[in-house]
Amino acid sequence: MIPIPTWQHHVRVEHDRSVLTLSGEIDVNAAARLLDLLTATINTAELVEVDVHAVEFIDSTVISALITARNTATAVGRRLVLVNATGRVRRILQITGVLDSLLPGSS
Amino acid sequence: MGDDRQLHERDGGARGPATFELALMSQDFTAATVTEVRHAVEALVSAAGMPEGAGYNFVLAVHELVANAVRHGGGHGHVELRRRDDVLVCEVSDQGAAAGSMQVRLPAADVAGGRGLWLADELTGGLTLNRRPDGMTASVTAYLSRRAMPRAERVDASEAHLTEPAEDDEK
Repeated sequence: MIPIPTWQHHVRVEHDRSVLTLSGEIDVNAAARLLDLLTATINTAELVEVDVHAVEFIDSTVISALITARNTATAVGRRLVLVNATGRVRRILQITGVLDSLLPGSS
Repeated sequence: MGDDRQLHERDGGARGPATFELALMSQDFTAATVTEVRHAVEALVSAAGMPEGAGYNFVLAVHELVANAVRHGGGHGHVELRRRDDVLVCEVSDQGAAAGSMQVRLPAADVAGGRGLWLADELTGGLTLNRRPDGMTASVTAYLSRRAMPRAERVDASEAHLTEPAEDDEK
């Protein structure tokens, strides 16, 4: 039985970057698919911006996917950053100590 | 709903034996129903009168336990939510045999996994892990009011759990 999708995504490839916009509730059931999506997007541009302004829920498995993808990007000389992290998403990233390393300002 | 007895107990100062207990939820779950369970818990916690920020912390903590059961605990489990006086208690039981999935420490920022149980502990009044012969039972508690909180936890909780910025939820 496949759960009803609770989230959506949209990829916009620009000349110098790809913007992956996520929305909805992203949880353990979406984490593997999200990681595939992040990895695929890394292959499209030097810089991937993951826009999470419309994301209403993430859990620890989503944090894992984001960090795995960021590490993958770094390993191949590319960058993956999070933009527009607000509200609950920002707070859980903050509490777990990973927010700063995912924001554009970090190395 | 027994509120009188509950008030009596609480005004007594020390937290004595529970005088008021109400089962709110008892439900099996699988990977397919993780989101459904989260929404149900969210509605019940809100209906119990927990402030939104603290309620969300509890919902996320329960979700992490449910997700953990699905991933490491045999793919399914059982969740029970009840109110005991002004304390919400949620128990998540699974059939997992693996002992390797019980890390409660917070990993470094560049390590991908292992934050679920840490979050469940951090976001609530406490996480208890109980290994049974056939699996694990994890439970978290949350206080519906500051008066229900053990005195020693009040300072910590007011800083870490209950005073999240109000503007966060308005966005």
